[in-house]
Amino acid sequence: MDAQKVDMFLMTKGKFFEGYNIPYIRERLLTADDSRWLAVQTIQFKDPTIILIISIIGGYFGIDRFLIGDTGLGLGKLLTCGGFGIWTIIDWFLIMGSTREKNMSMLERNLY
Amino acid sequence: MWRNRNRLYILLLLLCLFGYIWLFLNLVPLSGAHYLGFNGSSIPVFCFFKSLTGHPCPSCGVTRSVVELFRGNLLAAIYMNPLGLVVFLIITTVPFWIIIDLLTKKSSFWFFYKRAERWFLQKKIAIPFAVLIILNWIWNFVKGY
Repeated sequence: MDAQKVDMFLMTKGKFFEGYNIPYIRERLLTADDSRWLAVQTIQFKDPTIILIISIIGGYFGIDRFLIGDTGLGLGKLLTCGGFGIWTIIDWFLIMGSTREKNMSMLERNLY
Repeated sequence: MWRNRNRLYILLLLLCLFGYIWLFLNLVPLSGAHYLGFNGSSIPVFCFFKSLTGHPCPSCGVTRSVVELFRGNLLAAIYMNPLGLVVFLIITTVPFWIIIDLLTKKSSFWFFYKRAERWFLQKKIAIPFAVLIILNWIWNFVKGY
């Protein structure tokens, strides 16, 4: 892919990924075929900030985990009253990282 | 993949361990336990949602339900909270499955978990599930927990 296209992608979507993944994404996109461009450009990534807000409001019922696709952990949170409330609080700090990791795997699925 | 698998296994084992400790505290009358609020018939409320708002959360009554199941009263358990059956099933199978997996160095539970997660993400499964949870929550209100 064009370096210009890749840099545009990273500029507009960089906030959806972990910082340490950015160089790897750049390399992967540069070697990827041009026909992937539309698919990559139109993936609906989850916004970590929105998920954090949802986690603060509905994290007690595991809604944040359900939304990013961690349904198993979401069910665990729901059934244990948010892990006695402790898990809820821990997740306020972890959920943004998990969202970015989920976005990364979503991108990888679309590149292969 | 191995890192994720081991993280999940440790998390689930810890959760089940806490579950068993919690059940033990509820089932066995220890001397001194009443300082924590356990006195035979009633158990302490550790639910943030309930202490904050005074209303039950969707999983209020799960402890009572599992305790009833361990005593063999299926109908009473369903009345307390049907989600107790799910918790009972998880707490009695998952730790043993994980331990067997770890001993035989396989990942059968990890693959099952991944498949179940993807199955759960389907709209035709997720929406009825959410409706059932909300109905169960309304039932909790009716029961006056």
